[in-house]
Amino acid sequence: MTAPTPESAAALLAEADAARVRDGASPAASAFLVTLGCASAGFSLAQPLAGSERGVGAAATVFALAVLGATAALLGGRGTTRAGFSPRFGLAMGLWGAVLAVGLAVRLTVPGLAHDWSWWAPLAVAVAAPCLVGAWRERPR
Amino acid sequence: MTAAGHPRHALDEVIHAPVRFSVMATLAAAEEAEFGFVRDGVQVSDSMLSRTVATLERAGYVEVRKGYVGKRPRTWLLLSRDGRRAFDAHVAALRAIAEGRALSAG
Repeated sequence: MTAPTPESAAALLAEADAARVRDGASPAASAFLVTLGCASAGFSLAQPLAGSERGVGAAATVFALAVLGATAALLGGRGTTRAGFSPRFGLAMGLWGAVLAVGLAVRLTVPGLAHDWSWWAPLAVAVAAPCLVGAWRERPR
Repeated sequence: MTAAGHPRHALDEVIHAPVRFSVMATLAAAEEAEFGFVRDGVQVSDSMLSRTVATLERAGYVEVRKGYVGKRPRTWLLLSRDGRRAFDAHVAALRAIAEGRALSAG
């Protein structure tokens, strides 16, 4: 093995740094989390507007289609993930799931919340927040 | 700087080859990367990257995960724990060479 000169060693280090920058450029996970956060907030805000079970069903269908589309784009477009992606992504998804599950559970058990803006508007913010914070952490840079 | 303390002794022969170094550098920055992403980033052919990955896999530095996106097969590459440790040590040795100093112990 030929030992590198200080100059060639510096060039190799620069290449390693360039790879780090290049790998940070995948927007797929960030776009997925933004879509999930906005779709979840939209789903929550649609609840007090929906006048019937049919309206709730339509909101749920739009939400499901948005999430499915974002998932397909995530799986298809993800060329790389930055180091430490799984814990960051898992935290965002876990918090999102927990907030949504608690929100819907409370909605089902407490009477009178179905059309109550003072319940759904804060829930929309709370359910979107983990996704949007996660998207910011995964943003291309 | 003593001969034994010269940082070139800490360089990893497996990683030192140019294409292998580029692949390791790409994977070190990622949790995992798709085969095509690495090929395009390192600018090598499929066959060259396959050979390189096979060498790194034999050394225990790279793990290969195969899967599907829809019906399309995809190959994902990631550094093993040993690979990440070896790459970090290799980069530390390069840094010491670039800065003209001995490698500190540990």
